[in-house]
Amino acid sequence: MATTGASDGASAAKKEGLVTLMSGDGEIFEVEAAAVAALSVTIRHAIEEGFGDRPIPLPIVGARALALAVEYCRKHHSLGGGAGEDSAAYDDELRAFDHNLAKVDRDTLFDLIEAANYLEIEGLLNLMCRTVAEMMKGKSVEELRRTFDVSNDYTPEEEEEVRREVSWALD
Amino acid sequence: MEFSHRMLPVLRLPPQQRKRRRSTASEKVLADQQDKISELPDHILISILERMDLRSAVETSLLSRRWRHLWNSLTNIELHANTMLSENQISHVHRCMTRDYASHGTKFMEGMKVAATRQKQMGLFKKFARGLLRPKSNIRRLSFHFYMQRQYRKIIDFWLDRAIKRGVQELELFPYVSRREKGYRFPWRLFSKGRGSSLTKLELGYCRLGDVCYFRRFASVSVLSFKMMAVSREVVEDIIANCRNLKSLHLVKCHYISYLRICSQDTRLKDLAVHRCPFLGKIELSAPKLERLQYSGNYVPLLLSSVPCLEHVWLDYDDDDDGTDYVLKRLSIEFPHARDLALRLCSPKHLTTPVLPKLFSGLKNLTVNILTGDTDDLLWLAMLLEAAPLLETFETDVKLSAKCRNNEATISWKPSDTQHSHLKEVKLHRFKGRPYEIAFLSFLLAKAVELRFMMITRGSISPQVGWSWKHAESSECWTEAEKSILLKQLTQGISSKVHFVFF
Repeated sequence: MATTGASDGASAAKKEGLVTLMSGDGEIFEVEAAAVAALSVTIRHAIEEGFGDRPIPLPIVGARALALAVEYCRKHHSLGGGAGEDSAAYDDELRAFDHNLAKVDRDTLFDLIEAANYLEIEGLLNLMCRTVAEMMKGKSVEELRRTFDVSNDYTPEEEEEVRREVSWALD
Repeated sequence: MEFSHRMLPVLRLPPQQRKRRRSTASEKVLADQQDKISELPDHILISILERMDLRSAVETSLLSRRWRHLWNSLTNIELHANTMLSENQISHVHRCMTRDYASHGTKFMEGMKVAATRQKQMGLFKKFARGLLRPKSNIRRLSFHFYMQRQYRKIIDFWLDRAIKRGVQELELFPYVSRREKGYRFPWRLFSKGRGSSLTKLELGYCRLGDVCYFRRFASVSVLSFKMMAVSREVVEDIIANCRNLKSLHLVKCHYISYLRICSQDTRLKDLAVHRCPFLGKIELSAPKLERLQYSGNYVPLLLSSVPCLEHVWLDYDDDDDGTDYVLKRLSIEFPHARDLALRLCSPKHLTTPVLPKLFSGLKNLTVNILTGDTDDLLWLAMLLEAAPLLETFETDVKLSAKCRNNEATISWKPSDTQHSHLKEVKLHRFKGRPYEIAFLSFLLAKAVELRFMMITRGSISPQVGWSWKHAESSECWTEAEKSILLKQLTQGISSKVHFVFF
């Protein structure tokens, strides 16, 4: 398991095993270093590089997304030992947790994707990508544009051209 | 300390995202209400597209300029005939058939529906196989599941060739034919002269291997799987001798093979799965690295020698008595190193005298799926439990079946008084609230002094190919009243440290 990096004498950690994270909007989170370091590559590197005793700035991660991401790490660390969902350790409780996490509203969902990408939490990123894919499946282009507020910036000619390119995949 | 280079967040953003972020406050308010999805970096959008079916993924190119070329980067080409049509399209086909063949009677019409759906699926398969030729990206995985027709041979050969040139790592080829027809012949020639050396996983179904196999061309392959194919004892020996990196071998419903023999001191095989091979009569294993063995089908003798790492064993017997007999009498002797054991059995019809299995000296995790008559109590579970004194987790799914009606004669076997001091976690599925179940749970609570967690679910578990269990949730939910009544019944008179979960 990753250590907090507090062992190099200079940085006497104020609290054993904790690390401080600072979200983009300035909120401070004190979390168990072992849990987040086991799942987030970014934080693991930050701790290894001596951030163990100072707040780790996470400028593009909002407080709400960070709170959820931290909760994800805690849960997966304590229940699954950070294992992937193929492993036997991934049991019902984790499945239920992931299932609930995927129910967040749309804005939070995308914030979480950005957070997971920035923090390099592979499992969370996969979970969220799968959730978006599930939301997109079976929707027509118009429905997709409405659901995700995608504005159509094609000129009519361009759109016709794209339609021809992919006509084999359309009805 | 200076900020390290890695920690500078701006450097870590892809260029187009950085540009988008340099927006004024008022723009940002506006932007917050729209199109967050298109702001995601390419690799994430592609990863989302790869989790959708190809049709939907390609269709997103119509959304906006941002999306136009994303699908060209898909590296996972998955064409599965039975997922090519959407629900709507299928019901449209069915409506047409109902309209056109209403006068022909139901049976004929149903047949026409199936035929028309399949024809439509195959038309799409061909269209997609051609349409996807445009992207020039690498192909990481190629997965084709379709109904074989003679004219597809060229398309398949072409795609295989293309995938090999683009560094394919995973190849799944399932050209379905009924048993009477000749299947697709696997094109060994495409893999000659070191081509296809990037391949790590090869899964074939319904194909013909031909008279001469060239498994030495698959030295890089670590996962090999055959389904519904003629595989002989010699083919398996050829594989073991030539695929030097093979870690995992799966044989699913392979006919022809009657004697499976894997005896090699050099093989790196870790995982062997043999599922429902109808003519199999004997398995002989001597593989020093083998860790997992899965077997399902009728009982066959297992000859094991030199399998010191075999810790995970899964046996799923269709047979009523031979398999159960084997489990109760021989299993712990044959698999002395087993740590994880998963069993699916029928409760024996003619065994009336209790046989306590020999001790499983190292068993930590046990999952038992039993089909039993409705007069049977859960004696077999108690027996297995008693034979595994080091057990830590125990999971059961007991299904009642009229087929397994038990003898009226009750079996008298009394569990010993010894306590179970290692068992920490119990999961009981398919809970119906029968007296036997409650008695068994109370028995566990009294016996397992270190028990910490007990999960009682109404759903079921069933074994899947590939060391996983399929969980089916039940439609019935627990009411608070039901939970508290059961809790009261279970914890009557004992002070319990157990955490109960109802699901």
